[in-house]
Amino acid sequence: MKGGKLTRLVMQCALLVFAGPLLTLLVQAVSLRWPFPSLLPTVISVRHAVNLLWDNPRLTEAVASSLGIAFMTTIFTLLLAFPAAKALGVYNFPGKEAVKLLALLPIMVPTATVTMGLHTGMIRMGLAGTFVGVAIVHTVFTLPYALRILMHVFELVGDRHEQQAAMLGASWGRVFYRITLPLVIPGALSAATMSFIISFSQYITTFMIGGGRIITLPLYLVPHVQGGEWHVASVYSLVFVVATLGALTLMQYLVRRYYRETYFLSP
Amino acid sequence: MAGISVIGVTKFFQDKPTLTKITLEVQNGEFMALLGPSGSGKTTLLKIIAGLEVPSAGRVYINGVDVTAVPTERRQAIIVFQDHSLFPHMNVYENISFGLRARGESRQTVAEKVSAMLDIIQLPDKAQSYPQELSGGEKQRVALARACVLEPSVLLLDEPFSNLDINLRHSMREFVSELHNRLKFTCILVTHDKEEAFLMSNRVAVLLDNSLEQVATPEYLYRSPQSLQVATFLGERNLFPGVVQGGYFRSVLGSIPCDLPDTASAVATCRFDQVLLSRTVGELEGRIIQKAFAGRSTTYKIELAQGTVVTAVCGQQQFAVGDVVRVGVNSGDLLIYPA
Repeated sequence: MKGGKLTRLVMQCALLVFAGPLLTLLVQAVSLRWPFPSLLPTVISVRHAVNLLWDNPRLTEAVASSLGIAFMTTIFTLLLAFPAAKALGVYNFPGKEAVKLLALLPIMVPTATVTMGLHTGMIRMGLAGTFVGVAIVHTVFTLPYALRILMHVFELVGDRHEQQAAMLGASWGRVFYRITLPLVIPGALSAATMSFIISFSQYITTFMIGGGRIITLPLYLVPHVQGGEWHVASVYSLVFVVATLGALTLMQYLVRRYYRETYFLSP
Repeated sequence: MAGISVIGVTKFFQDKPTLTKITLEVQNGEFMALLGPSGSGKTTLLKIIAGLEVPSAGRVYINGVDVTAVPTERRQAIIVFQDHSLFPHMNVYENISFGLRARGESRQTVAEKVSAMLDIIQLPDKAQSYPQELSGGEKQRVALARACVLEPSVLLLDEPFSNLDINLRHSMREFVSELHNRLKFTCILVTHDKEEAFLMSNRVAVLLDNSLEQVATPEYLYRSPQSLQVATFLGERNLFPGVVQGGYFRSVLGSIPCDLPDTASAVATCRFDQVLLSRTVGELEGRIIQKAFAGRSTTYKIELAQGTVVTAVCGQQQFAVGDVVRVGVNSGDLLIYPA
């Protein structure tokens, strides 16, 4: 009974932590005027919020750019993190610990410092101001997190099932598709989620590498926050939350469907 | 033709030898046990045969074909590991059919073969169960079925019964022996359990300190271990240290003729059941200091007058702790090795 009460209390606190800010955003988004020291907004208008979203091609473009770059970054990250995490998680080789530390460097050094260096490289390669350039630089910051997550998954899973499959006559491709992928996909989903969220919320890197030509949602949103336009900023923040949740739900749905169709597992 | 030939195989891990110049031949359809303590290199040898490890030197032949450079998936040598390594995301049917599907067998053939194998392992109603829903013995049977359904030329068993309880272990041993009699594959069983090796195999290979010490039938190995190391490893033997002088081994047992050259240090051994205990007959006198009754036999520890402790296993005679007894060993039962 005591345990049940404690669990309920923890759940209620968690709900408060998540729902509190979201509720404030919602109220802020529909309040046209909320002067100090009023406890509640004095003028409420849903239509104004709807108008901000409706027929706003710049906002649509920013959301599309954000989603596109985040998806591209997620794909780049997984392509790089997968083999690297397997090598670090399963095999032993000299200098393994040093490589693990090196892989974390981009998130240990200040973002602006790393991005400035990368900017020069991107200009030389003609990738500055392009979607691919921005996604590549985002990947530098998402890779360490994805690598960590996948490395731990590979450490747990090991390569014994892959070895067994090879002994049973399965080719490399079959082993990857039928054994490796299904076993690590929950970890890969976590890594993808983390990469997506980090890329989606990048501001400084997109600003520097995009050079003003690539406008993502954070770039569209931040000036309104800095200008004190709380109502507008709240509406766009809600768009941010909905877009992220929508993309993540879609990813989760696709993975679940893959599992159901391939292995007939109950949903 | 030999089912498996390992010729001069050596393996180093970080400059440390794990296997040293192993040469071993397993006949087609033979059941061989590879016996040795933990860390002696048994599993490494199996992995080299299956292609999971590359030897530092030496060659491996399966059915007369050099497979040293052949990738794992084309060797037709399958290891069944101690931990089963069943695919956790596949049910029993999918696990057993995995190799057949990888081979490109038709759906109907796969269904027929898997169904027949499920009958052999006596789990026809578990086809849709997942590994986590099975008991230890059931998992092991599925792992064996997954390998045997492919009718491999070589089956390698890496301590497959060591995680099972004693009753299940006995029934699994019988099951594997029956399976071997029925399918006639060439088999190597890795184990550190002497009884298991003797019970199941046609021949036993003893691997000690990364080297192959002796290959013999269970009976021969039990009666005539060829070195002191093998005799000590097989255990259940009394050791009598002594010296060899002028063609005689001299120890607490007296002088026994032997054909070893003169040496300052030698050891004579005999099995526990070769020590004769009596109240009246025997060259040596001793006192029973410990008794362990185990149903069909009783094990006694006897302290000889000279201070040496001897172990004896008797079937019929009964003595009590503290009894003074006569101890004898037939000189023909003694094996003498340079120490």
